[in-house]
Amino acid sequence: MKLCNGCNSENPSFLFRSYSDKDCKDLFLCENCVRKITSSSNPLGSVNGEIVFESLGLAVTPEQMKVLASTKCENCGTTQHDVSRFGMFGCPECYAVFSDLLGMADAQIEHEIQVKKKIRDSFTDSVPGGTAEVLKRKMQDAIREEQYELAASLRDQIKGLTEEDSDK
Amino acid sequence: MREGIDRKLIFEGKLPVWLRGEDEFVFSSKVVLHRNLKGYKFPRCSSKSEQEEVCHKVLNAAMSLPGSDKLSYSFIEDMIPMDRGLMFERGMCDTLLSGFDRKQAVIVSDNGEVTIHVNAFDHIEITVNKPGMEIEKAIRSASLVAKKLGLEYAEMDPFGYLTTIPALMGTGMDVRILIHLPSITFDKEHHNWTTYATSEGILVSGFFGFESAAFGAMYSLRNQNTHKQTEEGVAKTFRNILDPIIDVERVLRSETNLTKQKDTIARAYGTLRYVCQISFSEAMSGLSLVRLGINLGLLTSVTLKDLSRLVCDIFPTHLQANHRCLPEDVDTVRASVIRKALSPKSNCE
Repeated sequence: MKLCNGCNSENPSFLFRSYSDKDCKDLFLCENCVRKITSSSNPLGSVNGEIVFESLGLAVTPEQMKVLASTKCENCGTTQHDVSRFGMFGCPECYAVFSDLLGMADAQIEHEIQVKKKIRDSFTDSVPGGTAEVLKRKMQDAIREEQYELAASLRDQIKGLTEEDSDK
Repeated sequence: MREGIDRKLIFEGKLPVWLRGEDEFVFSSKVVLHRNLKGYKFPRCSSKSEQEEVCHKVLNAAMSLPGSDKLSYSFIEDMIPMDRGLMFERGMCDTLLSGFDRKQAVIVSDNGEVTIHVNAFDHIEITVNKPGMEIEKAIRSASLVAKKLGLEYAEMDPFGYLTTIPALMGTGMDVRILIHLPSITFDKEHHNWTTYATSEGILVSGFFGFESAAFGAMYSLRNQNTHKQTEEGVAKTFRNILDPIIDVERVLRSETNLTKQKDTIARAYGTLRYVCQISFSEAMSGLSLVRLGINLGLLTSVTLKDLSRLVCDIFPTHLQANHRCLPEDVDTVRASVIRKALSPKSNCE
């Protein structure tokens, strides 16, 4: 089981990955550790440290690794181990040779999209003054720019939100 | 197409493209289009002779581009480190160009908007920079350059264009938006904006892209995966994700306690006016707040244009190139450049 490299908690959801031509370093982080790094700002506003976050797009489980361990591209000599270590292919043929790996990554991305919808909702709900305020401002902008169709659609959205609130 | 990068023509007196815009939030839109030539191994696995062949093929193709008289090229081994540094700081290339042990070349347009890097991660990396939020324009220009080169690129069904890094397969397009988010950076309640962006498939990285720190609340946002997406789809996704982030930044700017904001900005401005030695990251943090002050109308005697010029001038390689100073004197010279630019006419109201 993967552990967060920051606090050793289980199931880190982010992969920090730095590429170079000869090496690839991975650092698994949980959401809390990601937040700690991004909020460690000094009084003048700079965020320290390396911040490259990549959700676990191409990461595969150890079981999947075993299945693919023996695969090798005969054209350029790239092995499955190289692909998982460097995150890079060596030639166009690799795409056919490692297509299973790409398929697994696809399935994983689809799964993550569903999980991440929750994060999106929590952020958009946190807009100061609520989403309705932002929509109101957009509606006023639309009226000022004489985009009445857009303004009407925004008005309906605001109405919908207000009704939802009163239902709660 | 001219041989050799003419520093006077391309760098001197010109602002980097990312500093030319006047957008309150978005500095620049950058697209890097990755393409590999059909029938060749990717650069990391190819032989020296294959790399040379690819270089010459691309250079010949570039000579037939419309407006090729406004292009210059150089092999990386012929470039001095300072020119490579200038290109890197101006966002014209992603790396310092010296990290790979292979035959590489760069082709640069005189206005600094287009760079073609040969044999980096992929055979061709076409970088197009546009000031402000101009993703679509940048995508169109990059695609047009790729098309006009008239080369046959490696493609495969159902993947699309094939790239060394599989995350880029499909469109082969890497979009980056350089954005200024000071208020959201300070605000403790909205620190999850990076989590939100990542959850939508956008990577948040520092000022210089991968592996770099975020100076002065300036971030580079880039797409993570372009498989099964169209070029228009990528641009639309970016806009959809950026809109709520910019909304939060805008609301925070207008709702944060004005006296507190004035105080923070005035302190940063005061420090910069009387500083004797300052590092790049500290200077960028201070100038980020000065920029916020200008955008909020709190600082009126410094214009955005003056500030952009100043930001460009304090980059380490630019300082060394313009003031011929030694690396150990850079922080002192930077402080003097900032004092000179901010003292004569500026005041915090």
